Amino acid sequence: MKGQERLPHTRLVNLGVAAAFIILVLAYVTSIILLDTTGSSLLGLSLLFILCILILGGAWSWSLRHQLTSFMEKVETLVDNATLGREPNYNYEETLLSSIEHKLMRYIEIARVNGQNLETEKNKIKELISDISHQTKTPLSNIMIYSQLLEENLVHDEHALPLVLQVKKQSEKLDWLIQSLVKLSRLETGMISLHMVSSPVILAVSEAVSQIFIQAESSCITISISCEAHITAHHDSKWTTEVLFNLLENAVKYTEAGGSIHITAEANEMFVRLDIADTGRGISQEELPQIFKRFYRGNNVRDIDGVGIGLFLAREIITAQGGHMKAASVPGQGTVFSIFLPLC
Amino acid sequence: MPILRIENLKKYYGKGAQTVKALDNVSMNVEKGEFVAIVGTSGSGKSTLLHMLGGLDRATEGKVYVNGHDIFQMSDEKLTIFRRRSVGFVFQSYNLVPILNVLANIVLPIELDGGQIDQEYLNLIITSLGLQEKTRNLPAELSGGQQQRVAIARALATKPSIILADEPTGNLDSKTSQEVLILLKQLSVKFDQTIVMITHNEAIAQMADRIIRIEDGRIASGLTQAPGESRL
Repeated sequence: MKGQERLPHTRLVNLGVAAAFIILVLAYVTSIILLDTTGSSLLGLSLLFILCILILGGAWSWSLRHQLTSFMEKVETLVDNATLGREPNYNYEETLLSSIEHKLMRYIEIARVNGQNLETEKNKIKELISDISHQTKTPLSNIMIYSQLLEENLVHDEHALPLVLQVKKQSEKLDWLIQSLVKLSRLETGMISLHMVSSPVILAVSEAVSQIFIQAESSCITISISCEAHITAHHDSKWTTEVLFNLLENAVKYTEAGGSIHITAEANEMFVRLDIADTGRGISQEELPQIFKRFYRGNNVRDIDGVGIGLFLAREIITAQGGHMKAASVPGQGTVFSIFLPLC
Repeated sequence: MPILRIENLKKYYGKGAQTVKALDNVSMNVEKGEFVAIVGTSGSGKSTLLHMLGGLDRATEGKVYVNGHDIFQMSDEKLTIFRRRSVGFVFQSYNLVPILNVLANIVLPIELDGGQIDQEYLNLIITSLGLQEKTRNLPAELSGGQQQRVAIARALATKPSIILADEPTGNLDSKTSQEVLILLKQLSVKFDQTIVMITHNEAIAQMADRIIRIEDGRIASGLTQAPGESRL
């Protein structure tokens, strides 16, 4: 800011100097002409001398300006390099440039360290979540086993049996929640590296469908696929399968018996689009923007079990793959979840 | 601190009984990194609002602060430089220079600003937008979606902190619109940019963090951020 303000000022000074220079020269010439004491040879010499001085002065000013511009350009590249974290250009030289660079590097270093500290703090929290989830796994599976044993022993006790079944159901829910949290925290901390390769999406689709097929059949829901074999996306097939399975599981859960689920795949300019359409109960317009949020549960699905983390996890996985996920729905008629995966 | 702050913004056209209140006392904030969609019927004042935000037009009354600077206090010259450095515009029409190839179109704003081209960043934008094989083509040889992607790349080239988009997908079919918006959103997350986008398409709602509805020059809804968007 200061430099910019000073700029017109220096221009004024330059102009003033030039004007004074020319006035002086003119005065000198006129005085020589007026005096006219020693003839024309001196006049010629003086003119030559003055011309030389003028040229010199011009050249000097030009070179100064040139130096200044080149200096500024150097500073600019220096700042650009420093912000991009490249190696310093003028390491420990006895120059102003080197000193500026050093100060700038120090400043950037401080900022970077601050950022890093924040990152470590964040990672610590994530690790804590991961640890908690991991440590609770064993006792939880014990609870599940014991509740199964209890269930077998209490088959004829009509008072205790419903209670035991509740315990079993709730611990299953907790187990799913913890598993999802472990996956999430691993995804977020980058502990899971996505293995991105170009592979046909039909593989992921058929794998996911085969996992859900029995469940769908027992609820009398038909699943149809229209996906051409040549459609390939740049993705991690294993994780895409997980997302698809998640969506299909939801679709089965919220679709009445006799309904249908249809999976469509199409390749566009930049993305492969996978649509999972069901004929389920649908989601209201007000709720649509909320469904991908962590622990969000729809108001009209309170009667069905769930913890509200599946869609959040699904979206995280797709986003990590450089894709996008969205939903559209007509309440009472069905929901379409769309997954966009990068083409290649 | 919000990156954009608007205080009692008014824009009136005409005088006396014929006064058209394009914007009537609008106040709002946009936080850094937010993706805000502005929806409303045509003539509701949404384009006027966007033009004010980008310093393309001056308000009758009220203030717009970008990064804490009151942009209407700036001289026209400063305002032009502000636009060139801090704001990236994407319009419905792509406004590409027909005689320049894709690469030249993208780097045009950098060259106008006399800055140096950061090749790494440029390559990153070009590959993220899938334009790496089209850099030597002329705009006329590209599809609408590709042209709009070039326009987005151009808007991002100067590393602006705010992207203002006025119906960026208005000329595109629904499939391509979807893809262009996904890319726009992904890039804004990647480079920590704030997007304010006008749209008539309610389906885009899900992509934005917040939807502001404008009716008759006033904000009808969407002043506060949707709750519950906290990350663990």
